[in-house]
Amino acid sequence: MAQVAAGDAVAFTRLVGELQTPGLRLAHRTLGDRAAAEDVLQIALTRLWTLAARFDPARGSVEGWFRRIVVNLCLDRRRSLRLVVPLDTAAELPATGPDPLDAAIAGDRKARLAAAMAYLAPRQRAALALFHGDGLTMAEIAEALETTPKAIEGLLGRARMELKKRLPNDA
Amino acid sequence: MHEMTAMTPARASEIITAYGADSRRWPNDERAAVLVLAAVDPALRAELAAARAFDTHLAEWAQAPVAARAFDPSTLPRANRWRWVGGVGAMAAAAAGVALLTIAPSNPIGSGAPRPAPTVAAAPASNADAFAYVFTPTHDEESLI
Repeated sequence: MAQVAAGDAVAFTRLVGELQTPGLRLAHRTLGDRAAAEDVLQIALTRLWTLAARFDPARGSVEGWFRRIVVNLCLDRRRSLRLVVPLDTAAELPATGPDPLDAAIAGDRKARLAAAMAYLAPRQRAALALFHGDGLTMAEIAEALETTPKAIEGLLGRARMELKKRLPNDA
Repeated sequence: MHEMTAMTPARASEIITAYGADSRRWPNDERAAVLVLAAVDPALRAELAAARAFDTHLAEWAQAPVAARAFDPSTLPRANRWRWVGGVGAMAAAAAGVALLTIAPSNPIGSGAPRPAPTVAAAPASNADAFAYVFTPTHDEESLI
């Protein structure tokens, strides 16, 4: 980060290589929209570059700092969030994978889960993505979302309850 | 080693609902108690089985590959660079201006009338001030970053 703060574009490109895929995945899961996630990633990387001198290693890792930037940007965009696919429509979506029945069922289940996710709050989706996708602990998720581990436990519990309610046959 | 805490079915259910079925991810100080309770409570066992299946679906959702576009460094703002380059340029210009004022004759040859003293009110008072003047971002620059 010291090199990045000094304007070393090569060091920054290396850092981007490590951070961009998990950052995009987190933004995509939180926002449910690929284009919006790419916007967030671009802004987050730009902030990483321009604010590099403000990074304090005593306060945590670069990855943790970047996750916090991504999550905050996603939450800032919550007003423009929309349901990507209504739940009823998603149930009718044809499978886009190969013909076998299993693939069709799996595709259908994924589509319904993605649609149900759209009903959650962005913070809930972010917490689910960090817990089930990145394997973070409650304390690490709490750091990213700037809250307490206990609050994250409640957030995850309510998120899963909401999904169960909307997907009674899957949960 | 954690002591086993008193556990109720309601709290065990809360833990399974929030953390899923993987006991390795449950709170350290409650893990053993939930496992013991689940061993004798059919409702909790059913809840664990359902949570295990749902964990799989959530992991699929959360871990689905997302290909990132190739990063192009040229799209970055030049803030980290132009601020320094511009700052150094401004410092050089200020130094050159001060030097000119210092070495210029106060009463040039051929000039009959006394020349008024040059005013340099805008120049920084010291090197430290000059440094701060050049390297402290303005409000507009802050908004850029």
